[in-house]
Amino acid sequence: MTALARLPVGVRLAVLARSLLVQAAWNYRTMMGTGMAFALVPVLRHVHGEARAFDDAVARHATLFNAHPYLASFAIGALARLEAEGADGDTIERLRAALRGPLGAMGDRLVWAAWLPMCALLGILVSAAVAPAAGVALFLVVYNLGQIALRAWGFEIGWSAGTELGRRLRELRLTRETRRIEAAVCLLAGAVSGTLLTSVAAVSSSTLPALAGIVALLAGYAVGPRAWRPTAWIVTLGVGAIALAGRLLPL
Amino acid sequence: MTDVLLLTLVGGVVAVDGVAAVQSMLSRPLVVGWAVGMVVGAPMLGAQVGILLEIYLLVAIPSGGGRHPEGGTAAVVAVVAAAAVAPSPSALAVGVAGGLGWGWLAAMSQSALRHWNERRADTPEHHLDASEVARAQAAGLGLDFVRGAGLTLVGVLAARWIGPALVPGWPVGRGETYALMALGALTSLGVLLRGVAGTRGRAVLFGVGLTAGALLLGGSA
Repeated sequence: MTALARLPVGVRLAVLARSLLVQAAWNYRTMMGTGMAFALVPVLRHVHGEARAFDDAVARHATLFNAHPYLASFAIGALARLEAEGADGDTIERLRAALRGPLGAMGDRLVWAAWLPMCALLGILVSAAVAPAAGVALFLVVYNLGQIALRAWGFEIGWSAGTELGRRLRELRLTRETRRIEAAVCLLAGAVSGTLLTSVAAVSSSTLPALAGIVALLAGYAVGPRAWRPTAWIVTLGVGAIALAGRLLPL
Repeated sequence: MTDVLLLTLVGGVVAVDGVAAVQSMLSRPLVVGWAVGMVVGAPMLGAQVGILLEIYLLVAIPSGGGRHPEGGTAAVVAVVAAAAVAPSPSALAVGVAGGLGWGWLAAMSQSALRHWNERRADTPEHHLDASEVARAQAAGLGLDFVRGAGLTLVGVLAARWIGPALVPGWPVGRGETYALMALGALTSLGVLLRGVAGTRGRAVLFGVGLTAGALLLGGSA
């Protein structure tokens, strides 16, 4: 924590602000490498000044890197710490390589598969029960409180852990927190499913559409992620086919 | 014309928010659907299209370099398409289907932009300095905005032109159209559950939610 206190607040805030653009130049060669270098520039300038070492450090961080965009802040903090401690290039590269996979996988599960669905389903339910504006506002506020807190916390953890970030990540038990959010997703997905099924039954004169809805829900569950692309295509092409049939056939 | 300009700007902003900057989720269909509904004078229809698209796209995880439908620009086009044919019973279907289709086009354009960004990326022969990094970032952001705005402009004009052509022969009633769109959304919810459910405790939670949703909110969708 002594080292953390030596990094000026202005530099830390600049790094956090720049980390919001970590995917701005995302590409298939270095992925978010350019964005990582961009986020780290304030720290590198603080540590190295405008010397040759600064250019070397920028170049080092602009190479291949990828992670979840929010959890990249863990890596940014740890890499900033290593630069501040004057670690050699090989040590820094080893840490970058070690963090690439885990931070991506953890973030995908925590944010894209749990936090985002939880917040969105909550927003949908409030939209239906209260008003769309209330649902949208709640979704944006809750989601962004989480993402900003995660980014700021990630940088602090990364900075304090340095090369020990892998061990710290295991101690944080993010998987346990992810499971709790997933449980909330189950509850909220159930509520949205119940709402949809009863509304389908309400607008139809028979129970057939509601039964078809239950089958659709079960089919999605049974097939899993492979089902959503075909579903989207069937809906898109199906609507086109219905419109075409309505124009061409005397229905 | 003013609303087309506004929608074009919205398209640019949500395209950037989707991946390149912040990812505050202003670009989610839930948000865009409601906002664009307000712009085109159809707030409830916009919210409905946005909610359905949100459920469809919740399972399209934007991880790594994978190509996934872009929800933001798609939702702008979807709501404009739906509003263009309202009050026809086809409005919801035209909106959702148009949005899903446009989302794929947007994904392809995003992929092309990522290839273009490679030109300004680090190579073994040329390492970037700080000013080149800043220029690459600015170029990536600017081009993403232009991509989103351009895509949205074309989509909005196409939706207003093609949408009404689909209406006259639409052979399905409003209730059945809604049911068809809901079937796709329920499939997506099933896919989502596959990733998070699996234990008895979570099945119970899902059941509790299902019952509560059916009893408390059934008439409000």
